[in-house]
Amino acid sequence: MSIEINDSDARSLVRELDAVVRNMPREVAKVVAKAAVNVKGSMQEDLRDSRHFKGGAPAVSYDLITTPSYAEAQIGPVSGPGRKRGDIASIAYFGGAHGGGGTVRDPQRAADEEAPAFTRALDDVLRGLG
Amino acid sequence: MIAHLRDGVKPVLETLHTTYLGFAYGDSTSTTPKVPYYVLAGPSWGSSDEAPVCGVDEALDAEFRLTAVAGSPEGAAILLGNARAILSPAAAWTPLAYVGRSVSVRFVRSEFVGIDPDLTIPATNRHPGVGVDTYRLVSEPH
Repeated sequence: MSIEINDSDARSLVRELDAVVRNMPREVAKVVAKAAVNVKGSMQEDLRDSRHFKGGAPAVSYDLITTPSYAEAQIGPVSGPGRKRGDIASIAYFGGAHGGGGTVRDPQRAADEEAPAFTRALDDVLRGLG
Repeated sequence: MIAHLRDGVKPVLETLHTTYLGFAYGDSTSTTPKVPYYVLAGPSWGSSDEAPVCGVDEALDAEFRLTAVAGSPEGAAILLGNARAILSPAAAWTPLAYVGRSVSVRFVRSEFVGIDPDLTIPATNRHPGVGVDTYRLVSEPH
């Protein structure tokens, strides 16, 4: 006596899941990168609007960090030795050695503004892969 | 909020270093105060998405910023770490002594550590190191 098992559907499902796992990080990374560009642009605009700190606008940048299962963007002014524009931008947001807070809008607000569009775009990616 | 920073948070930080509220003034010999020191400031008054849905309550839920100033960025980072250790150890809610109200603070995030290129410490002829952390403060009547 023999038993035949038809596992073609299961194999098909595995292939589809493989495709999702392969494609999802790439698509999600695109969404993260687009949001990072928008937040960066918003932060640069805030700095350009400041009479005292507009020189810090070019220092705002972002780094995209991706792995097969992860995507992250770090957005902000690049500061450090020889990066005076970045130091100026940090002081614009958070104040200098005298304290008291900065005069340019908190960058968290730029991220908050982008959050709804970011969430929608992520949702679209997940639906598209379904 | 100013009263909470002045009477609740500032006395705790004063056990570590000189702490200014709002702005750190220099003296007759220098526009830069003697380092190290802290400055407390309230940049916002709570987020709109946490507003009460009805009536007016007497609770306060707001973020404040702590600026630490030292001779170098590394020193500023150490000062911020020392402040976190007493204001919010392990990033946990920590009660503060405050007459008539229940007050707690919690570390939210580090904002930046760098130098202030607009100021120079006369004794060292170097720019001071500056670091900023954000905390959240919640206060309710007893």
